[in-house]
Amino acid sequence: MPDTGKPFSVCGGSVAKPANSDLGHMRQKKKPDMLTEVELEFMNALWEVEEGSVRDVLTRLAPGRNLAYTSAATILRILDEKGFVTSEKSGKTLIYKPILAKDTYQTRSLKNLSAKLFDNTPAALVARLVDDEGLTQESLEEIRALLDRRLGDASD
Amino acid sequence: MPRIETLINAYIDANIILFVAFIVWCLARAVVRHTRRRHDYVLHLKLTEGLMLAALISPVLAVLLVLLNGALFPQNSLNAADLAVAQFLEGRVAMEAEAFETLLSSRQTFVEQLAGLQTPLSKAIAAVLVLGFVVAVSRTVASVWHLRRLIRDSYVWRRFGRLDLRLSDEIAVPFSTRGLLRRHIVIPSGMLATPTDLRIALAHELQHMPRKDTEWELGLVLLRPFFFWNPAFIYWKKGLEQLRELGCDQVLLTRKRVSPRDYADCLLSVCRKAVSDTGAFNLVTPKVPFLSFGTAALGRRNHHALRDRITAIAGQGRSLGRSSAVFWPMLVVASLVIALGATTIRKPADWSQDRLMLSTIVNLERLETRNVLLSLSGY
Repeated sequence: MPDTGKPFSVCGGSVAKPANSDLGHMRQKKKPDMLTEVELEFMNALWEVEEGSVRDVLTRLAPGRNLAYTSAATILRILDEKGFVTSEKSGKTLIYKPILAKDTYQTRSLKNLSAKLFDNTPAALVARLVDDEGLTQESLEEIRALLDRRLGDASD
Repeated sequence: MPRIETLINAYIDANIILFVAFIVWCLARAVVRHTRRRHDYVLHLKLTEGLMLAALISPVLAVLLVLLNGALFPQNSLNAADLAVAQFLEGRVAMEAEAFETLLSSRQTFVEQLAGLQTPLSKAIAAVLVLGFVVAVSRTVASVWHLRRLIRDSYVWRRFGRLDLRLSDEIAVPFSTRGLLRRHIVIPSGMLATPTDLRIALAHELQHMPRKDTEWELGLVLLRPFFFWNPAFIYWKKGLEQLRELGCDQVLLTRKRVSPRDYADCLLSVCRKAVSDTGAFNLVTPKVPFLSFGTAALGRRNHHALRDRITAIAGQGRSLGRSSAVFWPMLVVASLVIALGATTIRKPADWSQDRLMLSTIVNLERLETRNVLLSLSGY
């Protein structure tokens, strides 16, 4: 049965400290590579502002997003524990900064998608993308230019 | 060390008591269904737990009943075998004395054969019981290990005394569980983004705490390897799980802090996520989920359970008042019936007058048969 030792916060529902210190005697938990849907929303906001407090991130979320301050603070704390962001105290406020770069995560997401849905063959992924009738001529030209540049780099 | 025959006898008794208690529970629920409290799921739940406890302590109640009977009616036995012998001696059983005695001793014969693995059937039964026990224990250990890992990989959200509220990326359905010292409520982390669902799921899971539902679940999971084959245990446990959730829904809805509409929406939303979640682990684990799902999430049984729960939620919102006036009399009567059942299967302390008489009849019949055979053969 799981047991996590003595509690360090008392009744009243204070936000707990990072779970790594909390879990003390337990084995270090595995850090995930991928973001959940809500976390991605928060990371997009953070990538946009580059660094910011909970309130800064909350204001960047979609207008219809009715999220409590405490919930947003919890999501950012978990992102910190997972190693996707770093936090620094500025007065009484925690300022969060992304450690994970957006393009790094884009690459990781595509690799993940390719592995999960396209049998680890990126070519199949690109083929599916190009086959898509929704792709405009302009987008196709962009892809061609990107490939030409990449292939040019490779032959140099 | 107790003799193997004693252990087998105790195991058979436990299974018989379980069957008797299950039938009594079905009858008690049928009675409640005919009263105006038929939709009082908290009453159904209390009755279910009360009868489970009655079944557990029935051997003690049986001893008390035997002592009481001995003091009030020393001539009357409460043992089923003694009662049957009395009926036979009064000529109400149309059977040969020897056949009747064989029938009476059939259980003892079966126990001896099973203990000594004397026949192919007894060997097969022993193999099935041992194999089933090992498989059930292995499944429980694997599930507890999985649960432990899931708790370890979750994130502490808040702490209240010995209760941890945790968030997990790996689950779609909130649940409650406990360790040796701490209790845990684990919520899918994505639920933080849906405040209404979060509030309902938390209120629901917190409702399980004072009711000790996680402790009940833990106890039943520990008993499962012993009764894995017993349909009474399987259906009774399933009934308890269903009533536990219905009772919890009812308590929350009668407090009027959540509307039935929001509650049903939350349930359906969790259900949608659970159906698309392929990583959900089997419910053999000692945890109390917000929504019970078997291995086949879209199966007919799950569909019916969800439909019943939504229907129950839609019809709620008014308080049914205290149920003590119905609960206690029913519990006492039903417990007495279970205790009486446990008394009748007890092994008689010694040979009664009736038993001695039956044995004498059997011996006389054997003697007569022998005399007839001897006279026919000319000796």
